[in-house]
Amino acid sequence: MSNPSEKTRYLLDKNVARYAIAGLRYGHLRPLSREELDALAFWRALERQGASLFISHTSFHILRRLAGYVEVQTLLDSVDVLWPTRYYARWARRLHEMTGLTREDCAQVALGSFSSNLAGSILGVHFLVTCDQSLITGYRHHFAALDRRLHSMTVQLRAPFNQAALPRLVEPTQFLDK
Amino acid sequence: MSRIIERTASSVAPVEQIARLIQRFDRREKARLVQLVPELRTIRPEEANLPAVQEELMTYFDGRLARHPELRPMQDRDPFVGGLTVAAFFALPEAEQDRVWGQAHAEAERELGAYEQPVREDALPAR
Repeated sequence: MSNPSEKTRYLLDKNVARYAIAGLRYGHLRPLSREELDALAFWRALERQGASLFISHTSFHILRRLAGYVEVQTLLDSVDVLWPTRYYARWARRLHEMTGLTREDCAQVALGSFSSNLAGSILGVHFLVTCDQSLITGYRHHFAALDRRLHSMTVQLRAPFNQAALPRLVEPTQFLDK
Repeated sequence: MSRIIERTASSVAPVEQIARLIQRFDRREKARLVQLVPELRTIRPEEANLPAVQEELMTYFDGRLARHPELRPMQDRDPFVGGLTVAAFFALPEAEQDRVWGQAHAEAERELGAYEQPVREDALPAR
């Protein structure tokens, strides 16, 4: 059996988590929105692939208070939690300065690079999954410059932070045909 | 009733067989049926017309939801986030849901403070 840490890691942005919960809540009651359907389809597809799904520490902080609802607990069953590590706050500030993206968006992107699970066995995720097209476009526009800046920031850091990488931002639909 | 249903053509779905039976009821019998199955009052017509892809997804997730018989599903009046009930939150326009959800995350970030998770030196990077 492979080490779970070696699987491809996906961070669900806060709205993908919300769409998934809404999908479970209303899936038998009304036609779901495109985003809600995509969130559920993505969740099922990646679960079948055995991928590692994560939510942010802030999403977990909110959802654990709602864990008495079966829809929320079902999502929590499927994900692990990403906690910020050293350099997270610094990188989030730099992302904001360089890109002009909102602080909230930069915090999510920074978590993709400087975060770990409670075991401390991983650093960051491969993909940040979001339905936010403007975030994806803005991030891709700055990606090369961010990559250079991250490299210059991390090159002299001790392991494992010298291996920190930028996550790729993708929409849930990108994985549905795999 | 089962014998009536059995006599009906096997290609007809059970729910449609039962519908044919109910159609023979007079109004008093139909009223009694609603009394015996009160959930019928809450059903909206669009619930019967969900897209096939959605039905298929929900079949998958129904299995997941069933793993927690000790928990209950959200109800409209249950508290959700931002001081709103489940019904009030999900009735908001998308932009408003986004704002309230984002606000809850900003509050969570403040409450959690500057926690930093220790990482092992041999932690696996996402490369």
